[in-house]
Amino acid sequence: MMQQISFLDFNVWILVKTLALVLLGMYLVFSLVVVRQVKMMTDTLQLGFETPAKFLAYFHLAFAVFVFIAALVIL
Amino acid sequence: MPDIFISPKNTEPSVPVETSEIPKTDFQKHQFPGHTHNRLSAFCLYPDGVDFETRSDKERIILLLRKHPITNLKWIIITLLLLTGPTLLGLFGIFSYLPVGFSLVISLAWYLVTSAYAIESFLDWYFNVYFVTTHRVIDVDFYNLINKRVSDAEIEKIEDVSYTTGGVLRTMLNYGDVFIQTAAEVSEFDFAAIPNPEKVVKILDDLRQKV
Repeated sequence: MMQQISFLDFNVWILVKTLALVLLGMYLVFSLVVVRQVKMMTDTLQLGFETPAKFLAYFHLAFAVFVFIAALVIL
Repeated sequence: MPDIFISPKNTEPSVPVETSEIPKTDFQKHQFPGHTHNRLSAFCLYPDGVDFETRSDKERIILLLRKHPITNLKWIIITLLLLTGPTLLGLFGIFSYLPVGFSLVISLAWYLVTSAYAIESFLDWYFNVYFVTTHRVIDVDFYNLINKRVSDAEIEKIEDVSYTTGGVLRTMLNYGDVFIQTAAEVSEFDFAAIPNPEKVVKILDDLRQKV
């Protein structure tokens, strides 16, 4: 499949990999915004659920970093 | 002349018990039927350990409200359906057209987006709350990730309070919308899909009478 697509000395999958990394990089910024959002929420309201909410935000950030690194290594 | 009919004396207090005696101790607080320690509760009378940014020292929180938990059903179902996405793509053979690494990264990215959707939906439900305090009604809204709007109105500026319920689910689970007309800058508050709307209206009416 890859050989079929890599015609004219141009490998399409390199382009797809670059695009995927750019998108995942943008997603990393989004996950940082989520962390910021949770901080704003927990600063505004103390509802007794601050620690789990922060955990969810940091879990999401860690997952985004993991997927970015996985894409960098695997693709 | 003997009385033919003597109307029964109204044994109920004119002021609902929830707000007629604001509890001073934790023990008194825990006696109220609507009081709960459940952090995911949508209706909590005299909540413990709850605070907000703009609360003054003399102000006490009477009621903490958020949308009924059943309103989460939509995003929970969507999340469960999304979780099956990579499996379905695999079953339909979509991944067979891609190099091995790509199918793995696409699956991971899919789960990442799904987790973001679920987390955002949960946080949106949990942190969009309404407060009734001894002085004010407050509506806290978070929207577009990093924007928030905190609207409040003094109890004495409340002009009218009404509520609506309707539909099978709302009637069965007893939740609905409470509308508060005020003379404040924000002319109308809409407490959407909150549990026990009739109790909320009663508490607000009671507070208005006391002011």
